[in-house]
Amino acid sequence: MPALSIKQLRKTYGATTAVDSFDLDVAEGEFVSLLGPSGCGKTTILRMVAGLITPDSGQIVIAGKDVTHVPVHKRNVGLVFQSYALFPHMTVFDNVAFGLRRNNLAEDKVKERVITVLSKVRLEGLEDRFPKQLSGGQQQRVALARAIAPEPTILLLDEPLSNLDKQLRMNMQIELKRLQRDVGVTTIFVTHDQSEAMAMSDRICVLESGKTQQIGVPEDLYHRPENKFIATFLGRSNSFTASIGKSVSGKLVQLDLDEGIQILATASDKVASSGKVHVTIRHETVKISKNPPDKSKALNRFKGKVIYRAFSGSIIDYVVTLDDGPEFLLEATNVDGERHALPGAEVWISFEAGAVLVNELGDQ
Amino acid sequence: MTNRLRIWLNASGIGLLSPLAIVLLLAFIAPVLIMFPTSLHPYTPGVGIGEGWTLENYVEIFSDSYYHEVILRSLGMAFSVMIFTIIIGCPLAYFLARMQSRARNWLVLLVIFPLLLNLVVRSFGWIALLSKHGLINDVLLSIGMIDEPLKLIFNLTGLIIGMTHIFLPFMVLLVMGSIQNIPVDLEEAAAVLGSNRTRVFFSIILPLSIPGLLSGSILVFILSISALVTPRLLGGPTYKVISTLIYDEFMQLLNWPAGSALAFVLTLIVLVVIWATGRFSKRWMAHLT
Amino acid sequence: MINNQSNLSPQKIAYVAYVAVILFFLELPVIVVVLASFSDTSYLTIPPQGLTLRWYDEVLSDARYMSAIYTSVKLALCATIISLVLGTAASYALIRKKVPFAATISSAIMAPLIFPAVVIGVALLQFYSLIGIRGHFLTLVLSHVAITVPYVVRSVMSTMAGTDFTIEEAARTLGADALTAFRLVTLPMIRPGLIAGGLFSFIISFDNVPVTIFLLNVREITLPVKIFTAIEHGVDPSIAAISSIMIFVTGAFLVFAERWIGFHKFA
Repeated sequence: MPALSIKQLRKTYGATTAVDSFDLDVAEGEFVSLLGPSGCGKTTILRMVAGLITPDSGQIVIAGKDVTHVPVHKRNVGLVFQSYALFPHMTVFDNVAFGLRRNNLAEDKVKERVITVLSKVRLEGLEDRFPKQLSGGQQQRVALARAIAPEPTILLLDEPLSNLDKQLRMNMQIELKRLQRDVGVTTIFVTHDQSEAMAMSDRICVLESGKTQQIGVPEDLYHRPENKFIATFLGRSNSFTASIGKSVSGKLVQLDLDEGIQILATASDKVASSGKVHVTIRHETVKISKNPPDKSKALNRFKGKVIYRAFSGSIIDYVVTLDDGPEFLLEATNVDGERHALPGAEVWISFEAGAVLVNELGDQ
Repeated sequence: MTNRLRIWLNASGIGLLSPLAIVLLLAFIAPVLIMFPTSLHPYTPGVGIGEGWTLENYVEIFSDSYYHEVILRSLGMAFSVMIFTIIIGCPLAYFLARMQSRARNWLVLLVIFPLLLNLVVRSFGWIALLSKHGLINDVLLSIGMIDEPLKLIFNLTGLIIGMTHIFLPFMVLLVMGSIQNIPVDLEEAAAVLGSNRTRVFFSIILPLSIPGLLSGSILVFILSISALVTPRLLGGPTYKVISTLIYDEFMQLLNWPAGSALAFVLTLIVLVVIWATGRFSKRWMAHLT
Repeated sequence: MINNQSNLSPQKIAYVAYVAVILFFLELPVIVVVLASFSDTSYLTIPPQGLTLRWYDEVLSDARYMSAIYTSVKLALCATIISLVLGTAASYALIRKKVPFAATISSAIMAPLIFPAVVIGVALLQFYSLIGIRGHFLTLVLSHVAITVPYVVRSVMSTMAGTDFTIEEAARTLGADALTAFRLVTLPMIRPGLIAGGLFSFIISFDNVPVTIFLLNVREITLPVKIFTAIEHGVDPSIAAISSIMIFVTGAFLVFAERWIGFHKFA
């Protein structure tokens, strides 16, 4: 029995469809992210699971019980808001105790539980502070403690890290993930930050315009995108349109890019048919070198000139214009700290056939 | 069905609004509407309100020279009060809006204080000041500026002085609010660009404080023309404006139909002023954005 | 910009003097009334001749004034409590719910602010006479709710608009039903607006004459109406004394309200 099961969920606002035929099963203890650009419907889904929005149709089942028409206060879900939504007139202790007191827990039990939970989020000793007296990171942890204190069946997180600065966000990612594994609570995490989603999730569900684009483990989504949207949405990549050319061998197929060069890609059922396809090549899969690389190492290799170089510490970004061809953006690892391949330099770029992601072209 | 009704009452907020709506219906909307048929009945002194329907009450207001005089006097008084509150109030409003000292809040409270003080008490203060043996006449007589007491009360002068004082705080607070919303940067930018103090005032402050000035003016005009207590106390039983005439029709003459008709004329004046300024300010705002 | 410290030009001095004169003008009638109340004469004189508290004694031992004060306080309290409850419910609906015709409804709630009070007064006089409940205390309370509720709605709505609605939602997800969430979370957050609205409501109701005067019965008369009729019968220092009492109470009230919630922000 899944901890959460959503079936054919649908919500419209006037003429716009916020969520359409949404299905999702989440296993006990699993951490699933809803990832997508703003307005994709991810927050609406989360709020429907919490009971703050009533769906037009569909079903929400939590731990085997249909809660579609159960009011929010009887669902036993924990929700952490983007704004934290701490009670400004209550101390940290009273904030965390709020849910416990609603369950009519004896006051000594409340105290015990609040202390336990606060120590889990490492906020011991701050019980008597008011939210205003805390830093952003501390407020965020109070919000988390408040949500998990009543031991919810499901923990819902609505962009909880987006108000923190970058450094703190990284630390909180680790801490949040640890806590979640420690408590073992089934978690739905809403975010628009793909690296956050990939770093933390067991599975990711990518949404666009209220519809699921792909659900899977992060590696599948990144390396085996099912469609053009996923391919371009995740990571940084070069996008091209191409026609399928002749089959080179059983394993390889030639693609003629609209920009006038030919590349080799691994054959799959997606490229079996002829016609136009969409091609994605991620920045980090493109190598840059001064001399032509060995053909056995890279099937695709082109000569070009560096027109832009940006050094940002561990990585260096390049823009290379191929001779008689398109521009390629690529990302190289800083290995020796030298100033290689400055703008104007003649270079070679190369990539494997397996690095070429091919998807159907879609509507446009 | 009842369940769906309950959900709808909750989601639409109608459930929460209806208690207040019922009170407003019983204590405001219905009573005002029901007065309209009354204004169309004839009235015979000594006999009472007749059964038939007539426009006579309205015809009389528009043809009788006494009514004309009272209506024109009311309009003139309200307009004068509005102008005086603008002239006197704006410099104070600007001063308070741009003041940075901590004393500012207490000076603002000095403006709010008369506003909160009972209207009867304030009017009484003006009686003590303006009457024949009041403070002003006493002072002027004793320093020899006049030989006999000025007539400052139970006439237009007294009404305008008293009402200007009574409605001045509204003007000051509203204009102050809109000046506070003008960033000081704008004034400084204009000054940096070479405008002198006067230019800054006419090119920045005045146009941008029009919304506050306008709402202050409408409010003062409407409140002045509707005021009952101050005109009654400072105008006395004989020097009348529309509202005191309505009071007399209802409380002394018991001619409810004529009083109702006059009440609707007063309401009409107020609504026309609001409607006209609404149109004007809409155009002005469109010009600004 | 007014800069208090630097270069006091003649224009600036003239401006400050002008402002001082206007502020003095605003407080002038108040000062005059207080001065007149201490006069030992049986007629109104300023500056007071002699110095006595006997007018205060006379007023405070006058049963008619005492009963008028009692009526006014009772009326203002009833009207304020009802206004607060109904006005807060309405504000909540207008801000948080999808109310059909919300703009029209809020205009109707605010209308008594600008509608000629004397018209409301005579309309109510006639309406209550027609249905035969004229002079009943309840009619006064209902009418005062109508004229005080705009102040409650204005203060409460402006405070409520500044609060984060997700805080109430957070309480709901933690197991609080709608009423509990409102009571434990929203209500404490909108407290300043409630206090300001309640204070305004009390003052407006307590002070009202133009509506009240049409609805009173002979036995129950409010303090302002009592003073109003007293003035019409002829002025004397006892009126100055009761007026001064109102001045002191209003002043104390204002200072207290400012210290409590920063009252000037709500004016």
